[in-house]
Amino acid sequence: MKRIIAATAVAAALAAGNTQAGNTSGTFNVNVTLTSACTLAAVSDLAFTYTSLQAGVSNATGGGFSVSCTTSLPYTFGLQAGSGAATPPGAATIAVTDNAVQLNYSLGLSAAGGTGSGAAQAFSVTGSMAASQAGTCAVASCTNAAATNKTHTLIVNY
Amino acid sequence: MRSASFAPVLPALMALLAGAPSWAGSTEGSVTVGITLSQPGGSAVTPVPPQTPAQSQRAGVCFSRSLSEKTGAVVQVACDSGQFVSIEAVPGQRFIGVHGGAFRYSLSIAKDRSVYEAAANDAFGWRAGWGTVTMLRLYDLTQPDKPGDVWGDRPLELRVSF
Repeated sequence: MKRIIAATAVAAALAAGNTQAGNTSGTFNVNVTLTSACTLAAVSDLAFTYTSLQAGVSNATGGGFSVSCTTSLPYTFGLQAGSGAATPPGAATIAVTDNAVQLNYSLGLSAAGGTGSGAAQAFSVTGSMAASQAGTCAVASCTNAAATNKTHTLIVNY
Repeated sequence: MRSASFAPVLPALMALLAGAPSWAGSTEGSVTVGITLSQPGGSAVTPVPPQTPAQSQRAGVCFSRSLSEKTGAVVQVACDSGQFVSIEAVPGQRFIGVHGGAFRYSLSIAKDRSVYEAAANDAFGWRAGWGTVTMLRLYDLTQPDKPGDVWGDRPLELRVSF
């Protein structure tokens, strides 16, 4: 009986035995370079509906947009009249005289900027047209479809 | 020796840093503004009836829409920028309401100073004034106040609201 027990112990020791003679270890780093960035979704068109010499201010509809930025990255908005090359940072507001219907309006922003969250964040370009403007229109109703200065630039600075 | 070689570069570098934007980058998108401009009162737009040869030459300078065919109709006149209306109360005519009464008017534009001068030298003694008229109320377009009214051939009388 004692012999049987001894043989079993030897077999178990051989089965669990390590065949390596030894080991050593080292560490390594994973270096990450993150370039912060923002992306701007298309700005929806703004639309004014105005009656010559109307008594009240007209506010534009539309102008919504969303911006997605690196988490924790602060950013600001700027506006620039016209569609030429953007020259950051732009202005908080711009004043424009439409060259088709000769109406003055101003554009602003719903916020000066924000801080990135990694997700899309919604804002809007706001538009305001002062009261008591006559405008130019030789018929009952006109649009500024032919205006050459109806497109402007929204800049996201980060 | 080494510091001397950097000397010309240093001010430029400092200036560059001072003028450098604090942001890492930017992106931009376009914003399109659409405008629909309508005349007051909707689609029925008629030009101001010409009252004198001189005024008929200016047809199209301003557009108006009469809101009523009756005496006392309200007429709104919209003029392009740069144009003005010279208005003078008609001597001897009554004033009605808080905004005045019978007025004569002369439409002109800044580039056509001669019309303005002609109005100023009118035999009736018009005196011209500068301003922007936002609304004109028609007092009596065609009929004299009473039979035999010597003002029956007056060019146009208006009640004016500023």
